[in-house]
Amino acid sequence: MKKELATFIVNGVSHDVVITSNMTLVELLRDELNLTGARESCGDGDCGCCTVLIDGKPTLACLTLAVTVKRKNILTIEGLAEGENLHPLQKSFVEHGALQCGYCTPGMILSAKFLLDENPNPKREEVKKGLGGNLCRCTGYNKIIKAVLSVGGGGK
Amino acid sequence: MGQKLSVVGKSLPLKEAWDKVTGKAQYSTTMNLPGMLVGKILRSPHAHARIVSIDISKARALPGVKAVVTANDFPKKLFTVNVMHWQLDGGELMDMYLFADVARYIGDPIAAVAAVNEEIAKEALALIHVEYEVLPAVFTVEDAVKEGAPQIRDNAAGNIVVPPMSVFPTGDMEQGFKEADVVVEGTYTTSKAIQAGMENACSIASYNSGTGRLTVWSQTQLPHMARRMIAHLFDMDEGRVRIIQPYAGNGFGAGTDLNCEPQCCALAIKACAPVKIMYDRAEDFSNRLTREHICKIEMKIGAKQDGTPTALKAKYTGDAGAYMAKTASGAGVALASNITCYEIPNIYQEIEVVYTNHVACGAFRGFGGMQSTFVRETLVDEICQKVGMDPVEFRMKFHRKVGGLGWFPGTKITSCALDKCLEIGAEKIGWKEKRARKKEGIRRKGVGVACMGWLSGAQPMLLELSNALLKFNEDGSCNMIVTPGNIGQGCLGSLSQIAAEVLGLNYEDIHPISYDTDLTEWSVGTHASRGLYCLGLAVKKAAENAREQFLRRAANILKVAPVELAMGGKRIYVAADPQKGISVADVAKDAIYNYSGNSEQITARASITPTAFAPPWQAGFVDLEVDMETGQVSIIKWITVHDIGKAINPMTVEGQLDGGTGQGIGFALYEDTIISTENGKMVADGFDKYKIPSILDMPDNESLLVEEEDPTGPFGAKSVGESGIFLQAPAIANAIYDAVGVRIRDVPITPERIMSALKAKGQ
Repeated sequence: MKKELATFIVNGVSHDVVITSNMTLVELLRDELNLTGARESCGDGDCGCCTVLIDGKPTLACLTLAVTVKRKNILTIEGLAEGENLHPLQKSFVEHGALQCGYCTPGMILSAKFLLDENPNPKREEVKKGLGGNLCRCTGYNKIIKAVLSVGGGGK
Repeated sequence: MGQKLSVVGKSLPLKEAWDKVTGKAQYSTTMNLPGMLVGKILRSPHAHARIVSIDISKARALPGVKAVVTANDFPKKLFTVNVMHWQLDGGELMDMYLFADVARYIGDPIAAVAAVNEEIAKEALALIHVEYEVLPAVFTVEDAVKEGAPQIRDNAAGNIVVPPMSVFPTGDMEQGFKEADVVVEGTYTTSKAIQAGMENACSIASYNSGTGRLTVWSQTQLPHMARRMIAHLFDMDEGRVRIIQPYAGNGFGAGTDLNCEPQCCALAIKACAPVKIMYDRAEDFSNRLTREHICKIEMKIGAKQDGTPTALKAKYTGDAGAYMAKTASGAGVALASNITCYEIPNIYQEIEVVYTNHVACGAFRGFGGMQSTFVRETLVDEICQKVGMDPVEFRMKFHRKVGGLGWFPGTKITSCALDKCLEIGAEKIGWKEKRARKKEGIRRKGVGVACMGWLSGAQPMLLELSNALLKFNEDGSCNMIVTPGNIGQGCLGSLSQIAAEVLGLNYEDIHPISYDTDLTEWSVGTHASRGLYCLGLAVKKAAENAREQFLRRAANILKVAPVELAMGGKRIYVAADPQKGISVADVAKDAIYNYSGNSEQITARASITPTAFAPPWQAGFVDLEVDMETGQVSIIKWITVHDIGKAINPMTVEGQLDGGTGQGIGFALYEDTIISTENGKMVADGFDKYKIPSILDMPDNESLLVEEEDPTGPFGAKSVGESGIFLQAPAIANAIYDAVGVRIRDVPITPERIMSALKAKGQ
C-alpha cells in the first residue's frame, strides 16, 4: 500500500500524518488522531454516525478517503465547543433531552450545524430534511427536532 | 401523595449528556488500550455442518498473529450467551460452546485470531483451513417438526426445545367458549426484528496472568450476570472476572445476551494481551440474537353479545433458531403478559418452540408481549365489530382493575389509569369524528386504538435483586453506586433525582457510578423495564437510611431531638425554627474529620427484591391513510398515552416513549431481517436492506403522560423502558381495517400484504 506524509487541518489544528492510500477519514481521525466522535456504524453511508464537516459541508467520514481531504478544513464534534462553552446546538441537545445512547449525536449535531449555517431559521420540515441522512434508534427524533428548532428560532 | 417535591418530577438533562454532545463519551468501539490486538472470528459458512478438522498452522505462522484459538484450546464447557440464565432457579438450557463442534447456523463461531492489526487478522482468518462435513439443515418450524427431519441436536428429539405445554390456565376454557355469543380467531405471524442500535457489537478483554484476573469491556445490560457467565465458561471464580461497561450505543434487549465477549476473552487469555473484537454491520445483524423467537400465534377469544369476554385460547409457536437462549422465558412472557389486560375469566394458553438452523433469538424491547399484544388487540377489534361496540368503550369496560389478576400467578394489579389514557387519547385523536368518516376514493382514512398493561421488572418470575450504595463526601455530595446497566435510557439521572429528593440535595450533588463490577454491588442490571422501579426502590430506601444518619448526627450537633429536624435545601434544620440548622456538608465533614472519636464516612446501602409488578398501562391511537392502489400506509398522527404512575423525569419518560414509537412503527410496517427459508441466511443484514425509521419517516407523533401514583413504586413511579413500542402494530392494523376493511394478520404490514388482502376481498 502506498504511504505518504500528509497534512490535515482538524478543528483548526494542523497535523502531519503518514497515511496509506486506502485509509478512510474515520480511520484517520480514530486511529491516528484519537478523535472518536465520528463513528463508523454501517460503513456504507446509510446511517450518518461518521458525519464531519469538511469546509463546512457534511461529509461521511467512513466513505471518504483521507487522501482526498488533505489541507481541507475538517471539523469534528470535538472542535465544536469553545473550551468549556458548548455550542448552542450542543447545549440545546442537552437541555431538550435530544440524545439517549449518544452514538449518533455527534453526526446529528454536525448535520444540524450545517443546516443552521445555511438556513438560520429552518421550519420543522426543513429540519427533518436536513437531518434525513442521520439515523437515530433511541429518540424517535421528536426531541432532536425540538432541540434544533429552538436554536434556529423556528420553533418559537 | 401530594407532597411537595423539589427534584423529582423535573425534566433534567441526562447525567452523561455533556460527554455525549462533546464526542468525549467512550464506547467499547471507540476505546483503545495500549498494546491492544485486533480480534476476528472465523464463522461457519454452512447452516449445519460437523467440523471434521481445523488446520491453524498457516494462520499461526503469519507474522503479526499473536493468538489463534479453536475448540481445542479450552475445556469443552456448555454455556449460554443468555446471561439471564442466572435469574431463574435452574435457568434455561445451556447448549452453546465457545467454538462449535457442530455448526448450527451460518455464522457459528469456529475459531478466532488476534493480530497486531485488522489486515493481518483478516489474512489469518483466510489461512485457517476447516474441513466440514455438511449436514442437512432445516429453516422453518414446519420443516423442523416433520417426520424424518434433520436433527439439530442429539438431545432434542424432533427438534423440540420447549415441548407443547400449557402455562397458567385459569377457569374453564371450554365452558367459557360455550357461554360466548361471538368467537373471533386467527393465525398470526410476526417478524424477527433486530434491535439495530447504532453501535455494532464489540468487546475488549484483557487478561493479567500475574493475578489471574480477566477484565472485560462489554456492552452488556446485565454486568454482574455477564461476569458469572464468563467465569463459568472459563472455569474461573467470579471474583477474578471484572466487567466494565463503557457507554453503550445499543441495547433495547441486545445487551441481555453476550455477543463476542467469550471469543474475545479466549483470545486475550491465549495472547496475554488486550484484544478487541468489533463486528461490522453485516456481522452484527447476522450474529446478534434477534427479537425473541415467537413467530406464530393462534388465538381465539369468545365474548357475549354485550362484549363481555368469556374465554381466551392461544398457542404461541417459537422458532428458536440454533440455540435455546431465552426460548422458554420468551414464550412464557408472551403468554403471561397476555393475562394482565382484560377481565377474561377462562384462559388457556400453550407454548411450543423448536430448533432450526438459523441465528438464535434473544430479546428486544417488548419481549414476548409484542406478539401477544398485537394479536389480542386486533382480535378485540374484531369482537367490537361483531357485537357493535366502540373499541374505546370496550377497553374501558373490560380491562382489569386494581386488585385484579396480574401477569404471573400470585401478582395483583396495584394501580391502573388506563381509563384516563383512553379518554385523553380518544379526545386528542378525534376518535368519534374520525371513526365516522366516509371510506371512499383511492386514499382512505382510518383510526385505530390498542392498549396494554406491562410490568416494572420480571418479579416474581425472575430474581430481581437490586442494590444501592450511597457514600457521602465531605462536601455533602453523594456517590450513588448502582447498576442500572446504563444504555442511555436515563436511569442514572432519574435515580439521582430520587436520592436528591429524599436527602434534600440538588441533582448535581448526586454522582452516579455504575460501570464496573469491581465497584458496584451485585444487581441485576436492566431488562423487563425494571431499572427505575426496582433500583429506584433500593435508592430510596438507602437514601432514607442515610437521612436518618444525617438527622442523628445533626441532632447531636444542634442539641435537639432528631424528630424535631427536617432536611431540605442542602440543610438540616429545626422544623419549628428553620433558621436553626446546619448544612449537610458540615455534617458530612464533621462525620469524617471528627476528632472527638466519632469518626465515620456516612454511607448507606439497601437491598430490594421487589414483589409487586406495578403494571404501567398504555393506550395508543393512530390516524392513517391507506392507498388502495399501492397498499401504502401513511400515518397522519400517532398518540401514545402512558400511565407512568409518577414521572420522576418527564423528559426522560417522553424520550423513552418517543423512541418506542419509532421502533414500534418500524416493527409494524417494515422491519424484517428476512431469514431465507432456502439456506437460513439473514437476507436483510444492514441498514440498506433492513429499514429503520429515519427522521423523514416519522409521522407527527406525541407521547402523553398520566400520573396516578402506584402505591408500591418509588414516589409512585412505574416503568417506561419498553412500553412505547407495543401498540403501533395492533393500532395500525385496526386502523387499516377501519380504512379499507381488511384484517392483516402478519407483521410487518407491508404494502404487498395489504394489496393481497384487498385483492382477496375483491377490491
